[in-house]
This record gives sequence, structure tokens and C-alpha cells, in this order.
Amino acid sequence: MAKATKRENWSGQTGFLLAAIGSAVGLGNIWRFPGVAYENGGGAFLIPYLVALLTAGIPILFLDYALGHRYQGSAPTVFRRLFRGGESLGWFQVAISFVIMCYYGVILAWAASFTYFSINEAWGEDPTAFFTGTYLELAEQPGLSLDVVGHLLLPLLVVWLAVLFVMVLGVQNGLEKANVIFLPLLVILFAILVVRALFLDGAMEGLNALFTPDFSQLTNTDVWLAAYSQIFFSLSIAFGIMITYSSYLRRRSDLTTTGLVAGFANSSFEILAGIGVFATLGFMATASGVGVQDLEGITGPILSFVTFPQIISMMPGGPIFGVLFFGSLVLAGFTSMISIAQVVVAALQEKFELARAAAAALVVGVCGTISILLFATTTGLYTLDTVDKYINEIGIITSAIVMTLVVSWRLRKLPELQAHLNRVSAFQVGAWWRVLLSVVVPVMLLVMVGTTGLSLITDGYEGYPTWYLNLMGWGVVGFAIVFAIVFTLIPGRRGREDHTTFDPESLRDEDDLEEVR
Amino acid sequence: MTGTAIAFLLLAIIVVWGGLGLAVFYYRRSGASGGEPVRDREGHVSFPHDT
Repeated sequence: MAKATKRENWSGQTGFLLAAIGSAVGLGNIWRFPGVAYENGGGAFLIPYLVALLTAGIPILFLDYALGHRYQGSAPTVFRRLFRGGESLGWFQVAISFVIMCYYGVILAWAASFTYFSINEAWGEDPTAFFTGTYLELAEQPGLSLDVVGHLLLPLLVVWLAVLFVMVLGVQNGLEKANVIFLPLLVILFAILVVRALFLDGAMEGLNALFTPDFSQLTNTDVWLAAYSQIFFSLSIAFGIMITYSSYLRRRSDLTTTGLVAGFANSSFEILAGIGVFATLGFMATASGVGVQDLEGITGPILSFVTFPQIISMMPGGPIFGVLFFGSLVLAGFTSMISIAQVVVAALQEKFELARAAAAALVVGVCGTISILLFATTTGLYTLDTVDKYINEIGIITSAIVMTLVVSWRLRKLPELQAHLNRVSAFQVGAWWRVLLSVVVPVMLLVMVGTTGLSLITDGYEGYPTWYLNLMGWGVVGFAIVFAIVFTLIPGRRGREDHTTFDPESLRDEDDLEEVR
Repeated sequence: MTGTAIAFLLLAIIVVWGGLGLAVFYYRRSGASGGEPVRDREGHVSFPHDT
């Protein structure tokens, strides 16, 4: 049997842990969680949220860790080693990362621009008109424009060069060092922002709105679905990131304890973001003489690029607050972005035996070009909104369903993966983990994808034309499937080692014992 | 803020941040964060596994 090969490593467990947290803590923690919590029962939302974290988020996180660590590779390599035909599932996950990477870079470019705009509050009296008109030059209708917005190119170029720089430096010198520097900086910046927000007039009104529980919502299935969705999208699970990251861990590495820290750290940051965002929204409501419930634009890009600029203009010391807020967005987004990029770079490196720099340049070049042609145009916001909706809520969830069903029911690998987790980890997982992954998680995910898919088919999305949703929404899901098939069929330069020739037990402790600190 | 809102704010902080604190405690005691895991008098790793 072929011997497992040694790969790049994290310098230690803490480097991996910081990178895992950096990947999980992203834009969604800041602009999605607070609004979702508020709209789904406020304080009562904590109950389904915690249930979702413990019954789906952390179990899938453990599964990703176990797969990457045991089968030592990027997603296509791991699934090829796991079962015949599995490589296509891995490439499907890579395709999802590739698509997300293309538009994530654009959002980072916006955040970087707004960090600069905050200094002199460049949006003036009307942030809505500034964001959609002056800045994005947004067309009135969704469509396919090739009219590139010139001033988006410079921040985009800076973002892509920064991603390329980190990717070229590798796992230890690039990914790990970026997270070691940026993650603590993010926490410090955001903590300062939260403290400032808490001292604004009306801050308590905002917290009151966020944390007052509406227990009647607990019987609403949509609220439970919202909780599972939030946990699922927030933890960076089931699209290759954690599989790739954990494959760089040394053989004797604690997986489950690290997963618990990463999962709870992500949720802790979401609670912090909820406090900061709603304290600020409370200030806005009070200053405007309305209730928090009357405010609009409390989630997503509109919260960040329209509502927050409005608030910044209203408050004393607004520019400093703006730099803190948008700087936090840049840092949170960047540490997630490089984790997504690593999924694609590592997969290409392994399949075609490319040097890291060549693979990184190829990926950044292609993604950068697509990001300009699709998302930096006058219809870019519509395209981004549509692609984001479908690739997340259809693509990622489908990937997770297939992964959990195949591993638990077709391959019946959960006992082996459980034994692997328990052999290397302090926190032991029991039969409950297998039950959650084989029954609870697939059922919840099937309900989620069924509900969303039906809604998208019957009601469409945001009133966009059907042809547009078919092209940019379902089309992007179709692209991911075709991408997966094509890259599976292309012969790689490395020999076709698979589940019959790879032995996960072959790499012994002694092989990297000298590296264990 | 109402008393209920304050209670749920505290609940969120205690449960989620408390969970993080507990996880970090386990992480450090397991030796995963570096250094040596806890050992008994005979030198065997006593809590909970040698990682």
C-alpha cells in the first residue's frame, strides 16, 4: 500500500486553531447574525441557535477535521481516497469555494474602500445614493452588463495582490502568520467599537430589542431553520476549508478540543457583533426618533454600506468609528478569504503537481478576472446577491447532505472516523456523534434545502427576472457540478492512487514525532 | 433595558463565552496548546489522553 505523504504543516496546534477561527469569523458574523437573531425571536433565538451549534455545527466540524486529518489532502484527494468516484464530491466543494472566492474579493474591496471613505465621510448626506449610485453605479435592472466600474479596480487589485502574497508564502508563513496577526487585531478593533457603541445614546434600546425574547417564535419552524442556517454558514463547514486546513495538522494533534474552541469562539464573536451592531442601531433609532423595530436595512451589505455610514455621519467621532467598523470587516473577511482560496490552490497543487506560487497565481488570476467581469460591473450587486444566495443555500447544503449521507450510510465510515478522533483527541466523541451526523444533520439539511429550493422555484428571489435567476442562480449551481465532473475526468499528473491503495494508518507517530512540540 | 433583556444578555454571555472558556480550559489541559499534558506520579498522562 502507498504510504501517506508528509505535507506542509502548521507550526503547532495553536496556529491551526487561530486559522480555523479566522476562517469561521467572517462577514456573516458581523452583518448576518445580529439581524437574523433579532428577526427570529431575539433572546429566545439563543435556544435554537445553541441547539444548532451543538447538534449540527460542531458535529460537522468534527467530521471535516477527521476526514482531512485521516486522509491527508485537499477535498478531492480526501474523497478519492475515501471511495471510488469520491473525487467529484471534492471538486464540487472546490467549485463552491472558487465561486465564493470570486465575489468575496469584491466585498472585501468595498470594505477597504469604505474604510478610506470613513475618514472624511465621503458618502455625504445620502449614503444610499452614494453606495448604489456614485460608488457601484448600479443599473436599474438586473442583467448582464460588461460595463466595468473603473474605480472598483484599484481596491480589487489590492485585495487580490494581498491574497496572492499570502498564498505564495504557504501554510506556515502565509496563512498562519496572517491569522496570528489579523485575528487578535480584529478582536481588539471590534472590542473598541463595541465599547464605544455601548456608550452611545440609545444603545440600551438597541440591546433591549435584540435580547428581549419572543418565546412564541420557538414553535415556528422557520426560526429553527434560520438557526441551523446561521450556524451552518458561519462555521465554514462542508465546502472543503476545514478538510484542507486539518490536513496540515501533524499526526498527533488534538482535533475535537480544537473544534470545540473554534466553534465556541465563532459564536462568541457573533454575540459580540450582536451587541455592537444593535447598540449602534439603538443610537440611530433614538437619534431619528423612531423605534428599533422601524429601522430598515439591518442585515447584509445594506447594513454595512448604507445603514452604518448613516450612523457614522450622525455620531460624534464618526470617522474613527467608521475606520474601526470597516477595518474589522476587512480583517474578518480577509482571514476567511485566504481560507477559501487555500481550498482551490491546494486542490490544483495536488492534482497537477503545481508549485504553490504557480497554483496561487493561476487561481488569483482567474478569480480576479471573473470578479471584474461579473461583479465589478454596473450589474455586479445583483449578480453577487444572486450567486451568493444559490451557491450557499443550494450548493453548500447539497454538498453537506451528500457528504454526511455517503460517509455515514453508504461507506459506514463513522465508527472508523470516531475512533480516529478519539485516538488523537482529549475530548472523546461517543455514539451521539454518529447519530447526529447520520440522522439529525441530514434531516435538518434536507428540510433546509427543500424549503429554500421550493421557495426559489415558486417565488423566485428578490423579484429578479426568472431568466436571470436561472442563469446566475441555478446556472452557478450547474457550473459547480460541471466543474466537478470536468476536473474529476481530467487526468492529473500524480498517479491515480485511490481508496484501494491509500492506507490512512501508514503514517505513524514516529514519522513526525521529532516535530511534535 | 428590561430585566428580561438583561437576563438573556447575561445568559448569552455566560453560555457562549462560558462554553468558550471551558473549551479553552480543556484545550490547555490536554497539552494541545503546547507544553506537557498533565501527568500522574508514575509519569503517565492522566488527563484525559496523551495528545
